[in-house]
Amino acid sequence: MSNLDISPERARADAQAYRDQLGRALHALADARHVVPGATPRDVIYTEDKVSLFRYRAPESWNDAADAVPRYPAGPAILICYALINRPSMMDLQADRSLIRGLLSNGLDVYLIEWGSPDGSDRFLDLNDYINRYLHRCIDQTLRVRGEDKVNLVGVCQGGTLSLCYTALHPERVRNLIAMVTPVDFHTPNDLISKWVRHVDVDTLVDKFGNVSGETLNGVFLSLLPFRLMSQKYVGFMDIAADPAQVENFLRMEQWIFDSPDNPGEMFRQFSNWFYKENRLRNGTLQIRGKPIDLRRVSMPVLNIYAMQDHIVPPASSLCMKDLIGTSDYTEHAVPSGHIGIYVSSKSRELPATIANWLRARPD
Amino acid sequence: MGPVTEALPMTDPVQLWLAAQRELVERWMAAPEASVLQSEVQRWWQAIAQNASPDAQALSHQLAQLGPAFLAGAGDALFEIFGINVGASNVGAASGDAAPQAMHAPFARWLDVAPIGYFREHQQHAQDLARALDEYRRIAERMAGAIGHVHADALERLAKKINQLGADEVVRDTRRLYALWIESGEQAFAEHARADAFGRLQAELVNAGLHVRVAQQAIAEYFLKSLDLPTRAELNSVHKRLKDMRDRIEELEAEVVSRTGAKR
Repeated sequence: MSNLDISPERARADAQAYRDQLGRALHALADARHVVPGATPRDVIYTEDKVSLFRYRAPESWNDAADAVPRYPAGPAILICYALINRPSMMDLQADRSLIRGLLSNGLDVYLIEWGSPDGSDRFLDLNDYINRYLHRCIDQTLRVRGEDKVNLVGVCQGGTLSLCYTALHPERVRNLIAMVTPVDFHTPNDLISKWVRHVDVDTLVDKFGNVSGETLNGVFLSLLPFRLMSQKYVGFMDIAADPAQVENFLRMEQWIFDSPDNPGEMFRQFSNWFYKENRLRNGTLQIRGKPIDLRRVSMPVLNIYAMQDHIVPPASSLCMKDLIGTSDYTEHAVPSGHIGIYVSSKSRELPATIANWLRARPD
Repeated sequence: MGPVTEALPMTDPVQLWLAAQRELVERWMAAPEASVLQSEVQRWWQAIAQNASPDAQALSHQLAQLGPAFLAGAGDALFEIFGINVGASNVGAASGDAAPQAMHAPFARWLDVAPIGYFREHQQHAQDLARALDEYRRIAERMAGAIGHVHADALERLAKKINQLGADEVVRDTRRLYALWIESGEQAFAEHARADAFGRLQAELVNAGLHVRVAQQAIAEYFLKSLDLPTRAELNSVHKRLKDMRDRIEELEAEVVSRTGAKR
């Protein structure tokens, strides 16, 4: 093959160079500081079972996390409802890659729900528990603290789907809805997860495994891009091993990816069967505790943010929302990134300002 | 080992066990005076009959003489039922693809035997687990084949990519070759993984894994119960009842609020 010209000597030299690089990479891993995702000071304002509601402090108090009287931004409040898969620390990964810092810097008062780490005692928690119990009460608490009667709800990924359902059930409590990388149509052609889950016996899986482990779910996500995520990423690490800051960034991301909570069994069953297999939200046949989810009741302003190279929630899955909801004030915003890049990529730097400006233009 | 076991494939434990039993019986039959087992059986008969009447003692003696012949006949019947046939195994081994099937047949026959008797439940659990493991192994082999196709396709794509490079783009280092291979592999995988057949096969593999888990769990639960230890099923019942009770309390609270206008 004339276009391949690697001599045995060159191959041997390359192998020796990789050996040296690998040695340096292993030293870099040994020398690396312990890193944890999460950069911005915050306070717990409500807990129930394993769920916690946090409020983030204003930028002027970032250097004084032990401040006896926490200060919070005076602008509009937003409540972020994240997915049950992975942890929301991705939104505040590190100081220079933090969507939450960006929102605070734009004057927004940021609240965030963490679902915690479900265990065997939580295996029967279902969609109703997450939507009508936990999310509902976190909204109660946010409104109580703010002295308001409506919330600006930000749903992220699966949390966006939950937020959409909640808004359809309780439109009177949501002033504005912001959906980020939110799946609505689960049967779009490029949705690989949907294709794979369609033939899986989810009922037996939940009956016999109970909760579905974060490790299992991670395996699914890795297998969407196996060559890149299981090989190339780690070969690429050798290139950045000499830079301690980049090593820390890499490790922080690794921790976020693999520190995944288990999914409560019933919740997983309902989400897999009703959304992924039967596409009930898209088809208008979804009911939560006997109450139909009618997306036409989503009549408040909606900002739909999607990632153009999203391989987990294909853009088409989010964009179909436009034709299903009842609002006349609908805005789409595309970010030229992938599903995770929307939080940390340099291409999404303007996103906090976009959200803040959109909200400020819709005060009531 | 005698000639019987030497002639058989060494990988099937059921086959090996049955062959060993046959060999034991044959040796016993070939040298009855030297058989320890036979003399043990005869001693046992004598102990049973030592205080018996002369008629019973005579019968005991007669039965002890018949025993080896009867057992050998029963052994032959057993070997026949389970398909132990030295000649057939050798033919299978000689004919390539037929060998694994010939070797696998006794195992499959054992899985088909309906469980009966005092150890019925144990047999049932063991058969269920063996069946599930066998099913998983077969599907995992098919999946390995499918992944093999992805790699073969990746290689084809890599060759095509390299051929299409311009004269100034010649690949001269392994890192560049690796990058092209990753690109080819991801493209090949994307095409195969999107096919409905791949999705079905992957689901079959997951479902087969679930069946193994179900069978393992049944055995674990059986032993936990026998030791009076809590099982997952019992904990599930408790958690489910608590959950139902909590939901019911919330419904009643909501009803109170709606009737009285009181706040929670």
